[in-house]
Amino acid sequence: MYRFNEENVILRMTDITKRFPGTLALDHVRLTCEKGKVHVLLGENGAGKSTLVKVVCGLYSLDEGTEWYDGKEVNFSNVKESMAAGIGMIHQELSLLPERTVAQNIFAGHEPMKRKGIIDIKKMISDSQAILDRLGLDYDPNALVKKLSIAQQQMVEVAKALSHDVKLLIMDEPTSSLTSKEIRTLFGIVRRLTAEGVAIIYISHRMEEIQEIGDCVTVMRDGQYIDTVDAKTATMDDLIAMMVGRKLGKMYERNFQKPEDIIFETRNLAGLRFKNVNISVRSGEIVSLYGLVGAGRSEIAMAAFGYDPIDEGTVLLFGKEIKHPTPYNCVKAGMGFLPEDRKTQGLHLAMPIADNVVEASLGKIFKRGFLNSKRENEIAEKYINDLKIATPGAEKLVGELSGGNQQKVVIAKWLATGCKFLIFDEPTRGIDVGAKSEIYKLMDTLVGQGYGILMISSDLQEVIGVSDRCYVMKDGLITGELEHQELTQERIMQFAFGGKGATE
Amino acid sequence: MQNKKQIINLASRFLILLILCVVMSFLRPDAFLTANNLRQVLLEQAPFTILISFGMSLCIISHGIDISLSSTMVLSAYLSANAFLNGKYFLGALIAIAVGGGFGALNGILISKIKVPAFIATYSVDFIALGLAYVICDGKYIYGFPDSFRALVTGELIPGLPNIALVTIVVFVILYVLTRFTNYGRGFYSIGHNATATKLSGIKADGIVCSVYIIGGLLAALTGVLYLARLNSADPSIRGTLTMDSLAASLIGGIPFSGGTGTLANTIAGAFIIVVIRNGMNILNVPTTWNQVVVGVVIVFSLFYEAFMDKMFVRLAAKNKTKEQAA
Amino acid sequence: MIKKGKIKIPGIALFVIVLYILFCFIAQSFFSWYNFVLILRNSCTLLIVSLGMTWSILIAQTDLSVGSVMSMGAVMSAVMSNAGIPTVVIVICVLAMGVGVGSLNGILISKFKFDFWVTTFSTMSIFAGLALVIANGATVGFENKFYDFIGNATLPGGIYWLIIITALISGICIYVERNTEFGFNMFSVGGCESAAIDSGINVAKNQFLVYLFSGILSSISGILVAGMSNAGAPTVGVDYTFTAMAAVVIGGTPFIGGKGGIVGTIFGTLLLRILTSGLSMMGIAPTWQKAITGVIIVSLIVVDVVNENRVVKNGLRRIYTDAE
Repeated sequence: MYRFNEENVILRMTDITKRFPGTLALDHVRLTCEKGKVHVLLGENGAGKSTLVKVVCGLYSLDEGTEWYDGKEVNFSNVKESMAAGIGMIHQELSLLPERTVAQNIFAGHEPMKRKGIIDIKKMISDSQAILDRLGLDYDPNALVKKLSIAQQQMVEVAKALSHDVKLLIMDEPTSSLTSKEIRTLFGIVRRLTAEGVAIIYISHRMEEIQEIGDCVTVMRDGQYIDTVDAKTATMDDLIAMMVGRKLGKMYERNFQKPEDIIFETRNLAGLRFKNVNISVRSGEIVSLYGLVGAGRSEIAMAAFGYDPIDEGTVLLFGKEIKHPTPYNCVKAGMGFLPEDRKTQGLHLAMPIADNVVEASLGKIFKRGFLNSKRENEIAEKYINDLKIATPGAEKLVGELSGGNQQKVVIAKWLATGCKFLIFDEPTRGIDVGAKSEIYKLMDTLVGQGYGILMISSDLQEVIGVSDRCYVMKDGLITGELEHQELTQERIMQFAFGGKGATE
Repeated sequence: MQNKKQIINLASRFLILLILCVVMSFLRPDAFLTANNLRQVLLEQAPFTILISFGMSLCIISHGIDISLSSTMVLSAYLSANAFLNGKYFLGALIAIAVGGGFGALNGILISKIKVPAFIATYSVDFIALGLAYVICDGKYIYGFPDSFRALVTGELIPGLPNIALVTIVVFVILYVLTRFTNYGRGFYSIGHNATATKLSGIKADGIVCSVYIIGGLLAALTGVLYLARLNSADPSIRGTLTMDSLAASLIGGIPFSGGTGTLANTIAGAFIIVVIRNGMNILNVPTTWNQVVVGVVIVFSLFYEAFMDKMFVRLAAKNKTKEQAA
Repeated sequence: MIKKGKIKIPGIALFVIVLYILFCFIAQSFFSWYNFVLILRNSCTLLIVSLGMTWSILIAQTDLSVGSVMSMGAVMSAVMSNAGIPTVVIVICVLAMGVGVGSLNGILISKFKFDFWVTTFSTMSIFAGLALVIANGATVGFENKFYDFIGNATLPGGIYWLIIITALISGICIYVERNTEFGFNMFSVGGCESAAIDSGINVAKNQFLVYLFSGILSSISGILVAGMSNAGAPTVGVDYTFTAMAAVVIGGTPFIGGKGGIVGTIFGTLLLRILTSGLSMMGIAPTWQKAITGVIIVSLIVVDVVNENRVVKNGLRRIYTDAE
């Protein structure tokens, strides 16, 4: 347990609890930050790190617990209040204006004024210069942001946060887009800030950084606080153990069988945010693609399915190359795709279940081109029964169903096509436990019938419980492939966090 | 719930139409409520607005818009006029189809392939088409079409029903069946709801979007030819306020600008409303200069009405949900 | 962009100069002081309208009603002048009309969240119609010393007061765009609305102000055009909306907004007017002029849209794994 210097503490969160409909996002979590120290927040996807910091800066309200900041108890109702109190936040996604200058971006929304409504441009530029100097950056305040590299833009985000008077700075995955050289520069900035007494909360999943830049590490898991340890003395094994150490339930019943021929294969596939991807899926197996957010998994699926462009490489389905992949070709060739965001990509919420179910198979079902609502409803009813979709009828609008049932409609849609190779992207995200196990059972049945499934997931338990094989991705590259018997949490995490391919 | 909502929506539009007719009958029963007037308005004048509005509605339902229909109509009319004048009906039809289909395809490609926003693309094409029309017209005055040609509009294959109304009914049936009962139509509505999800279901969305604009162009060409037959001359002023009228008709008929829902039955209701309003203003001797104002106000009114209906249905749905939960 | 010290000369300026020189060679009579001043004079009303249009496109929207507000302004001026109403009152009324229409657009779009295309398309129609109503369907001639002065009076040497007034108004607008909170916010709202909201900017207020100013500027243009022709033509503004859109986009403010500004629009306006003047001097018939100009405008707009789309797509295309 890490010991804090109580005189130095600037932030103390105790018993923080936050509920969202259907989930307990934070369960009596605590967090203490000292001035001039870097406190690293570590945990898997969904552990609650982002939620916690959003509570700290007032983006979310807390349901229970207290936030004690800079001498008094606070309860921020919006970001402006926390900004005014000295809390700055750098989000994971850049939100800069590419067509404006560095100075204009730094002070967007709170430019220094000469008089009411008139901006003091000179002061804005000189103040920007001062911040850049403070950070040790030699950018021209009048340079257009779009001319800067991603790394430099990330630095401008830091400058932006510092344009307010900052005592506590939250950095959410600040190095996710940077190379090692650029990370050096960022660390230099972090050190400068801590030397000035700024407290820093640093969210990252990169092991090497934690030890280098961190003073202490708090590990979270499933919305719960696990422990806080000294960053310099903790080992990777310790941390991983803390992050994943939970028992696997009896949710995953799989009848593993010997898989047959390869039905899906990518050779040297490269595209948006990924390259050198060589994966394959055989009939009768469930292959997982695991990685942390931003690793590039969904991008591979979108490219293979023909929705996003491919830079290099080929996609083969049932042994034949798909020459110019478009969703239409791929479906015709026998590939189905259940997208990550079922609400905006996989379903028409304002249309009935029946319409959604037949959408991808219209040509197959209605060969002459004319719809038949009776047949549609019959087909929909069949899947409603088979998949146990909870609904009074096939005409119910999909938007009115629960998450689990919505996902079942998406599955029904692709089952109706008869496509034997299916890509499931985060199939159980946001779904209750009961529906989850039903979906796993369904997947098992399908591969038993000869289907091949590629499952993209960031749920470690799910991957370990369900997969025949697992590919692990990090930063756009496949870093490892594990057979079922090799699947342990530790090994997967090693590949996903700081395993092979990480050293540059 | 969905079908109920659609039916109520359509019914409320016809109710608006009814109210308008009642008001007009009250104000000037002698002029409005005569068989002659009603026949003229509903069966002879309305079809032109209806046909163009079909094109506009199809674009709006698929989450786009087409401002160029009236100009394409004028251009088709002009380019095919000479052929019709000389009795070469087949050639004339061919020219009209080529012009309408061509400009429709231009819109379609700009919007579906090159991803130009619909309003910008069709606004620009409108400018081009109209400019071309004026260049070709060049002050020339074409008139005197053969009677057999004119019979296309004025004749009566079915006694009592002007041919133009018959044509409109046939077009309505074809398009309605196409959009409501075919695979193509299902894809068409899906695109209006959510183009991304539609594409990810393997449907060739780009092709469908392009075809919608081509259909619009063909409808415009048809209307242009019908105008030639009706007016017995080629006159650029037929363009009039047709763009605004068709937009107003679609919106007041119950097709939300956000797309995804609404049928061509809505379009007919809306077109009738617009045409009755015009007829009313005519009878009441309101100067024609007020036309544009009224149509613009109708559009703004329909935006408010749409917002109001949405709020009503949200409240109704919430009430139903609590009933379900309590049960 | 070419930078000369603090002033950025947009690339469009080169186009303008090149086109001007081209026409000088093609048509002999093009190259004269008289013609140069004439081109400037003819650009004035279009420019004023385009100033407001620039800002509405800058915030990634479009105000289609500018042409109609201009027509209203012209027609109101003529009719009220003929009715013997004092000029001061007339000007105030016209400006009030601009404020009214702008506010109407602003409220419907920023508060009621109506779609900006449909809304401004409707107001465009309504006020184009009202202009016809007020003018009784025909152009209304009138005589008014003030109007005639601002429209036609010249300084010794041939420079029209109109040009000077326009330059003044443009100058003020450039200042507002580059130095005020309102101006800066426009770039943020147009650049990325979500980032603007995150920065605490009141987006709705900014949108409202843009439409307000657009209305005011268009009404001013109506006054100017009425002065130039000593008449209020109810259809004078009909083509202005499209041409203003073109001037803005050609001048470097793309439809997706976030960059560009009035300086570019000035050159865009000049380009269009030089084009018209040049074609005219070449003896090309007005209807063909319109067609040619139309095709050029459409092509430039399409090129702009395609270009912006490509930039966005390439921006997403960064391979995650970087330096080897």
